[in-house]
Amino acid sequence: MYSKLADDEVSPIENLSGSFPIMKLSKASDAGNEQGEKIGDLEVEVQALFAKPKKVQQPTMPANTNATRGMHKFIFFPCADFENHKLALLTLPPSTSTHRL
Amino acid sequence: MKSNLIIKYLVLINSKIYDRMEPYEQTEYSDSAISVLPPGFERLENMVYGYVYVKIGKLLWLKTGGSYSMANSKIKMKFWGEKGNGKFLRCSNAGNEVSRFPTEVKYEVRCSLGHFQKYLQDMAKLKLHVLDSRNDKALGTVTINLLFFLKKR
Repeated sequence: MYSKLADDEVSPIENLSGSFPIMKLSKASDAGNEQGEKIGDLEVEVQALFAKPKKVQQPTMPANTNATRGMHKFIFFPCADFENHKLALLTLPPSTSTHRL
Repeated sequence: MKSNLIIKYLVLINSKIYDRMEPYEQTEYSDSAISVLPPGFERLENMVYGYVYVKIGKLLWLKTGGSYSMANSKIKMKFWGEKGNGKFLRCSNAGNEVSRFPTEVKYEVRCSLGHFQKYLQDMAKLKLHVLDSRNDKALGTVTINLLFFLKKR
């Protein structure tokens, strides 16, 4: 869906467009009758323009694939006081908890 | 006293009903409103999938019996389900009497191509009525059988 379509964003739809150069003009009293009396001709042109299907851009890999492939090294620094910190949190008295209402 | 209270109560109810009613949309029946296909999709303002142009060329009379002339001929076109009187057009060789009518009309299509094709298939025929602009009397009819022109996708 599009809010506005520019001229270069639409293209004619072949099966919904047609130039009907000479259409039979039937007498009004014969309306609905395909074989009604012909009293004239009328030039009519109908054209449907629909939005061009947009190409989906496939993600492309960068030229230097070595930069994105391969193992990355992550260095973890062990926390020496992790166990003690955890214990300290668990042993906090309820009165000091900030989440207490 | 009691009857007065009942009348006041009824007036109050009526005023509440009118308050809840949607306001009359003048643009719904106005020719200046944007033409939208299929009819009923007017509220989907941000969904424009395409456009349909209908252009009227020359009108050629074979039998011009009667008092009408080509200069006074206007063409009424109404798509299936379209509200109001439809669109009034003129042929390219019409006279100045109907110069206020355009020769081409543009519709915004607010549904996908597949749905629009189904709508045209259901409509099957588009009728154009040639009227005498002086008294709106129907003079002739042009029937475009869309099923002949719609190809399977």
